Formats: sequence, C-alpha cells, structure tokens
Amino acid sequence: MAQHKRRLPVVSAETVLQSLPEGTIVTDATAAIRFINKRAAEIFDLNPVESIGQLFAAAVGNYSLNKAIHKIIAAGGKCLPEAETKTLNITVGGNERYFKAVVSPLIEEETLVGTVLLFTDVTHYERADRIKNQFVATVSHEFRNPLTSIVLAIELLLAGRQPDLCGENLALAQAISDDAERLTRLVSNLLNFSRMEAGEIKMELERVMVAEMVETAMIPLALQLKAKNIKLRILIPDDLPAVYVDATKATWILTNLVGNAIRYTPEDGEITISACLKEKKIFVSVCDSGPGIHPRYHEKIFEKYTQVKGNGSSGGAGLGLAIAKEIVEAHGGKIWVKSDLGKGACFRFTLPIKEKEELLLEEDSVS
Amino acid sequence: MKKILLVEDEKNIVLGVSICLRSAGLEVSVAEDGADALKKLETDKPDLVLLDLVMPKLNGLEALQAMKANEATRDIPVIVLSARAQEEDIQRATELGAADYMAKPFRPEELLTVIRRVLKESI
Repeated sequence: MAQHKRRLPVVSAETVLQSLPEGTIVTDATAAIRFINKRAAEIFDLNPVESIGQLFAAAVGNYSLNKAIHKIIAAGGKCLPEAETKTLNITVGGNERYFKAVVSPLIEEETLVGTVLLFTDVTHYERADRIKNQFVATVSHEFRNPLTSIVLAIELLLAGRQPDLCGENLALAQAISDDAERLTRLVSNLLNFSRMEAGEIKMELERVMVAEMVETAMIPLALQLKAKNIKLRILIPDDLPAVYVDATKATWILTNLVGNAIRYTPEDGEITISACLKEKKIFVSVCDSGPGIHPRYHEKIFEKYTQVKGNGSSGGAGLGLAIAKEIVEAHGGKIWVKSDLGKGACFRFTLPIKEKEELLLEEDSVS
Repeated sequence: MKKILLVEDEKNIVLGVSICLRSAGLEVSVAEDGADALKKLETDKPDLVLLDLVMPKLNGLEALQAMKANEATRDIPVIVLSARAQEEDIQRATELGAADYMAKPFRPEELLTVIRRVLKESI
C-alpha cells in the first residue's frame, strides 16, 4: 500500500528558533542584539522586545562573552580555528545553573554580518563532575593514613637491614616500598587535580628566584637520584631575573618533571635543568637521557589520564603533566615537549617575570 | 633524652612513628585524641609534640589552640601531621602557632629531619 508523506506546514525560521530548548542570541557586526529567543531571554532575565538593538555588553553584560563576540567581529569571521566556547554559571529563577555558550560567526554571502550565540544547559554534567571531584578528594584523603603506616613500616624494615631480610625477602620488601611510593604519588596527583578542577587552588604570586625553586624542588628527589646514580646538571645564569609566580605550585612542576625524568632515565644517566630569559619570559627546561617520547604523543601526554604505553612507564594516573599544564597556563605560560625516540626528552615551560614598569610603580607606592 | 608526645589515633601509624623515634634515641609517649593530649602535656612534659589533625573528641586544631592558650604548654613546639595536606589547614595550623607541618604519608628520615630542626630551633 502506498504511503503518502504528510506534508509539514510551512514554519518560519523564527518559530523554530523561538521553540528551541537552547538559548539563542544573534548580534549584528556592531555587537548589537538583533534576535533573542524565549529561552535566552529567560536565562539572562531580559525583555526580548526591549533588548533588540541594545549592545550585547549593555543588555547581558557578560565580559568574556562580549570579548568573544568582538574577537570574531575583529577577525571578520575568518582565521578562527573554532568558535569560541565558554562555560557560564548563571542563577536562573533562583536556581544556580551552568550553560555552555558557543559564539560563532554569522556569515551571509561570505561576509560577516554578526555573531550567533547558543546557550546549552549543562548543569547536570557540571553537578556530576563536582560530585566526582569531591569523591576523588575524599578517597585520596582517606588513603593517606594507611599509606603512612605502610611507608613507615617498610622503610623502617629496609633501613634496619634486618638480618633475615635478604635475597627474595629483601626484593619483596623493596617491591612494597616502591609501590607505596607510587601510590603516594597517585594519591597526591588525584587530590591536586580534583581540587584544581573544582577551582579550589588559589594563586599566591610572589617574586622568587628560579635557582631557589630548583633547590626546593630537588629535596624530595635526592634519594631517588642517588639510588639510580643519576648526574644532575643545573644551568641557571646568576643574573636571571626573578619570576613572578605562585612559588609552591611552580616548584611542584619542577619536582614533577624531574621526578618523571628520573623514572625514565637509566641508571648512571643524566638530567639537566636549565633556565634562560627570552621574550620577557623565563624559559625553564628539564631534559633527560631516557628513551624519549614518540612525536605522536607530544600533545596527548598533557591530557589528563593519559599514559604512553610501552615506554617502561611506571603506571601513574596520567595526571602529573595535566596538572603541570594547568599550573603553567594559570600563570599565562605554555608547556611543551621536544623529543625523539631514543634521544631523551626535553620538557620546557615558560614563567612570567614582573615588568620593570610594574616594579617601579610598586616601589613608588611603597616610598 | 628528648621526650616526644605523639598525638595520633591510628594504631599502625603510632607503631611506625614510635619505632622510628625510639631508634633515633628519642623517648615517646602517646595520646589517642586531643583531650588525652592536653592531659599528657601536663604529666609527661614533652620537649616536642607530633599532632594529628583529624581525631575523635578534641581535634588537632582545637588541641593546638588550647595548648597555645595555656602558659605552661605554649612554648612546646608542635609539628602537625595530617592527611589533610590542604593549604588552608597548613595556614590555620601556622596561625595557631605550629612550628612545622608534615603531610602524610612521610618517610621515617623526613620526619626525623624535621624533628631535629624544630628541636634545634627551640633551644
């Protein structure tokens, strides 16, 4: 039996846009609002009629979205690798909600005529993420007490060199010690990362010398360096300006990078830490003589929960470099790796210095 | 011989820390919670206190506060030991007068290094 297709009534694009569960705002090329659907008006508590013709900044007043709109307009809709995406935290009708906002160019006959903003409610994802972060934080706290007694017990047994601790027994005791250390590292990284994701880590900026940071960073690694007889070279010029950073977190990056370098460097190998001033930034490098990293992993290793297989990895959670990246980026810097298989790896990151003008202003205000 | 008061409710940690301290020639007494710690401060007169933060009855920060408010015990140096290695806790403990802070887990030699330094500074 032949089926007749039901014909849909003709609907206007505006009706479709008004019915969308996503908030939609369209601006022209001067960033004035040209269209706003019901959901967007509800999200931003706006009168849809009155907001037409108003500048986006005046009507909505969101700084980062306004910046994204102007960035697209300034680029003429071209040379943008991807539309600008932000996450917003907005109280709608008394309830806290999260929206993913995507700002895209509005193009007509190959010319930029404005921008389109789309707001998708992602509150349930945000909540799930927050619960996950809290859970991870709690678990890693709870792991610390049993870990403490394991670390103390095994280190005391090993340090005491019990007469019956030899041969296979000694190897077993060493295995407990090694894996207790690995668990400690995992737990710290999980905790750090969950707190960073939750935005709980505050930045406390101060002027600090790179050489001092390196010295502090090496304290927890001294035993490991000695155990593998690794030669550590530190090349930091005496006249290197101080960096303006959160010293604890920046030092953590160094400890983490050198810790990785130690794990991948063979016995009697060499690790070099160097720093230099370039383009008003301090470049810090940690280079090892380990097996190196295949170029295909150079970006991926900075993603969370990433492990490069088959390179003798010691089984972490894949969080160390992701945390390092977050910290570096929180300082407005960059981190990357240069490496070829069989030729060691060089991790580099940048840290900010305080501009001379800012220092002068500070001195003025003190005097 | 220097006397250390260890305030900790986890039995296995008490075992490890006690053996570590005794092997280094230190005398150890143990309190299982904050309230017990305040009593033992009076009777044992330790040279240094190792204080856990999360404990039943009186917690570590409350015990530290009470200890620093008492003239007889305020000069005894305190090293806080805690699984809660968060910056706010370190800051709070320092404000209350803790001499140093050790995040769990720690190795025996790390603990001894900090104890020796704090004891030296307190003389």
